[in-house]
Amino acid sequence: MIMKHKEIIIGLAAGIAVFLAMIGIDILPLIFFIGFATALYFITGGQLIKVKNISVKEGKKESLISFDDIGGQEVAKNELCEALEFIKNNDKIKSMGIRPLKGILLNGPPGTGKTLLAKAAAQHTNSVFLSASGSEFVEMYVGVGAKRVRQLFDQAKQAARKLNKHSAVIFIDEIEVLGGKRGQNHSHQEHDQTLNELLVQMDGISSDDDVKVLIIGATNRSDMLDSALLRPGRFDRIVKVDLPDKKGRAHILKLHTRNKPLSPDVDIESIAKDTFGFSGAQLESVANEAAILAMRENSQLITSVHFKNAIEKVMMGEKLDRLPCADEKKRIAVHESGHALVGELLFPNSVASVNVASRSNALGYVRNTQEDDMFLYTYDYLKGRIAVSLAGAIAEEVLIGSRSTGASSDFQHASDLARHIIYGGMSELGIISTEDLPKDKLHETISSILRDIEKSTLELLNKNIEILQRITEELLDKETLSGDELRALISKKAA
Amino acid sequence: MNIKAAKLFKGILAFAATLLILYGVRILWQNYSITMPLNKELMSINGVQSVVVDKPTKVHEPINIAISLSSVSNFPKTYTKINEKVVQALKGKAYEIDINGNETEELENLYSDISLYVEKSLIDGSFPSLVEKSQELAETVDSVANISIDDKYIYIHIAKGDNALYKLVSRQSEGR
Repeated sequence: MIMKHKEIIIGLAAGIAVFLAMIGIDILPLIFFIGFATALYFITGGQLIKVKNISVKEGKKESLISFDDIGGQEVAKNELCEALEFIKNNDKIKSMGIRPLKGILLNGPPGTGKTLLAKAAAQHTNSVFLSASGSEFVEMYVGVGAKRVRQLFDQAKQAARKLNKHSAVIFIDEIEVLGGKRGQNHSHQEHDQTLNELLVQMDGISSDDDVKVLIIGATNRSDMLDSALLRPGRFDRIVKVDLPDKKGRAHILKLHTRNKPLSPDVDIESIAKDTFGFSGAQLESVANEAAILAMRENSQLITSVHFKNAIEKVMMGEKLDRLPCADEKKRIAVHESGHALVGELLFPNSVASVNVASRSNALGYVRNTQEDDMFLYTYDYLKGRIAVSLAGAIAEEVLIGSRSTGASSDFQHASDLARHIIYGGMSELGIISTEDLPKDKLHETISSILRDIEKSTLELLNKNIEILQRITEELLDKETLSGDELRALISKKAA
Repeated sequence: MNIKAAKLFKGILAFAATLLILYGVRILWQNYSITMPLNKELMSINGVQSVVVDKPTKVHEPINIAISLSSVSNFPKTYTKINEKVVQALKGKAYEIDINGNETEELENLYSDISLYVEKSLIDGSFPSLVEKSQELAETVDSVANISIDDKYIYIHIAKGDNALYKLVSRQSEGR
């Protein structure tokens, strides 16, 4: 506002200065003081003189997001919508004597759409939307954080009044920075004051306020939050925002590809199947990367190949120019062929692609997919996965006669899976207490499981050594084999 | 008009408007808080014919009050009254009072002669001889000279017919 009319302010100040000089008041000390203050302001970049106001972003019309624009979070959306009805139907809740909801905590891994949900909540309730990050409240000066909390609430109310709205949604991202457990922080006096101010402000919200304020906090570390913040009356609802399931992933992909020219061969359902464990942000990145790859190739349409490469890029990183020597390349091909063959034999249709091109830290990799999302693992499944992990090293031994260091992460993964078997009560030890299990016993049992599976995998690979050789040759030739090509090779040999 | 010129115009307009408003307010304030109360109070004193208040341009300058007196019988008493009213109206502001009569050249010349004795009396304190000499000199031109002295001033009132000359001489050296 001041900067907008600075010429008027300069004219005004000059007028006052000239007037004072003409009536005989010595303005030289005043000019000196103003000059000194201005110099100080510019030298310190404005930090020394003013306490920075919290940067609050108000939702703009064009960036408004509705719940329909968010895919894959049906449960979270439903739960949030239900909570928001309390804001929309204020008269009804007053007549029923219901205390208004003061806060909703969105808890979930990064990139799952917590910010989008908060924006949609503001749009759903026709509220003013203000967002701030928890770190914006952190300051070394005592009292500044608390002041910013007060400012945030005041700004929300003022903005709502200005726009003739009756409610405001304040979204605080990464709230664990602001709302972490008290007394643990190094500068805990300031930290505690900031949190106390937030608690006080939330306590001050009542159904009789002319502007209803709803706090939506987002965190992926709800375990770090102070218990006072989580009690009813503060954050009344805790909404879990999880990684999307297959249906959710398909919905998200549809949303992110609706403005992109897709080739008819692109099957969103199959991409959703290939992207198990991806967050909304990663899926958005897949759609974006696919479009970038299509543009790089001067293609008018984004094809399924672009999507496959985009998934690999998002999962494994950019392709590297690192070129191993011929012997190493053969070893990598054998290693990956082992993984792929055993994977396909034990879990038919599970391999999406086999690669010997370097990406990020991997010299080669096998990308797996599965028909349906899995949330429970059986003993046979875990054994199978261990076999797939060990298959790389065993294949090297079978075809080249020796093992290499490239399998260390595979062994780590296999050990972790073996630990799951033991802790799940599926090993020879039976049901055990995880805390009371001696380390030696654990090591012994893990080794025994791995040894057994190693033996059976070796037998399996020896039995299919011709197929393994064929896959290795094809892989050395093509560098990349799709799941279908791999299956064709296996069935050809089997026939 | 481009944006720069528009901004410059706005700035100049703001500058001019500020000056205009501040001066306007100052003139109004001086009229209502100084001139009008002073006029009202001083005109109520017997013998005061007119009052002219010269408003200062600078805040530290004293307010100059020019008062025209008609023939008054007791100049010191009238001056004391005037001074009291001015102090009351100006509430501590600095001021200077300039008393005027309807002097003639003859009266001016007479005062010029008397002023030598005034200076002498201020140096040696011969105030009785000042009164005596003044009256003697006045009689030579058929005039009347009334000299009064208090701890601050020497009040000189010379009159001939309807004409009168009033002079106030400070007894403190710096006031002269």
